[in-house]
Amino acid sequence: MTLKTCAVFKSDIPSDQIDEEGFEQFGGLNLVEALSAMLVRRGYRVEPPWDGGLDGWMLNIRKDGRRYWLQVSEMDAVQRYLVCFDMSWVWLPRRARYEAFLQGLDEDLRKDGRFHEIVWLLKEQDPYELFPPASATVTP
Amino acid sequence: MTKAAIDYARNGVSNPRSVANDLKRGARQARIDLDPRATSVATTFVGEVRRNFDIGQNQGELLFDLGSLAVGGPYAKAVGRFADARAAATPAKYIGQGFSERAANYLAEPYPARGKGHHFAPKRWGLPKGFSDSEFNVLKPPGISRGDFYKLHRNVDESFHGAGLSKALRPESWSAKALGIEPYGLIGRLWYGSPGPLKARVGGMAAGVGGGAYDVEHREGRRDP
Repeated sequence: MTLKTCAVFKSDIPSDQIDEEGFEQFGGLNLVEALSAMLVRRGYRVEPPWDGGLDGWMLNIRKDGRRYWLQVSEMDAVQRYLVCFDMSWVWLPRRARYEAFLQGLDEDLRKDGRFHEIVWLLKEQDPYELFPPASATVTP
Repeated sequence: MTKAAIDYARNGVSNPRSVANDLKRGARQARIDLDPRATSVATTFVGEVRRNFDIGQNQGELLFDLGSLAVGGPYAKAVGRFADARAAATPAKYIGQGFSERAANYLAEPYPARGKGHHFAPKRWGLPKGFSDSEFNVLKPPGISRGDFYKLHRNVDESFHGAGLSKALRPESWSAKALGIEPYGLIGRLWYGSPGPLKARVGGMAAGVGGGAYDVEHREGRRDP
């Protein structure tokens, strides 16, 4: 069975997007900081968030010689999108560890009162297919 | 990329001053990027930290360039940067895609100079910062509009599905799915996703290897009667 490594969710954490003249920053920093705190409590070493522009905010996460990568972006005013990558070089027992990482993340998201309506997706699934944007339709 | 390069060269022939101005701007930008004294000190502590951080990042990139000097890095960078240049888009294009007039105006604006580009080798690969954030790895074509950059990013990165717009334009957002924009195939992603300076560099290295091979063959040919 293929792992679902992406998630769409809503959050009470307000958007921190900055749209000032001459300085713009996509939102998601507060979200990844909240996720980072969760992962640290689970024993992961998490590096400071990195601004990935359109791709959102990113975290480099390590534990037991394995490395994971997590990205969070604001799809629109309401929906948030999370993507995880297993960046470990060591292959075995890769799946079990990665599955534990994703399960822990899911448990923490559901336990934390600030995250709602969490839907996990396969990497190939388009989050906007589930939650279409307010405008912009396919042109003939 | 090729058309943009030809257009740029053609414009340069008819208007040499434009090329000279670009080079002058490039030199001035290099000084602003690398020398803390070239820009005025920020009014706040946070602003000053940010200004010095940016300069530090640019100096890291310079170290990568210096390391690659022997194989033509800075030359490829200068040539490739011009080759990536794009024509400006108009709001009408985005209105035609279904955006509101305000959103269309926003999408037709030039993609911000400080905006993050597309990383050819993704950031998650954990490559050294000097390369990862350099113009050899970051694609951000000069003159590209916001909307066209979103599209380009989708074309060359399968994992990018869309993004929000300015907060003032919410709830509108940009979705590749809604616009029918698909990623290119592997070859297209490699070609269009690689920054001009990297292509110029790789092309230069290939020409160097080819030229060297030709030279060896030519000399050997001369030895043989």
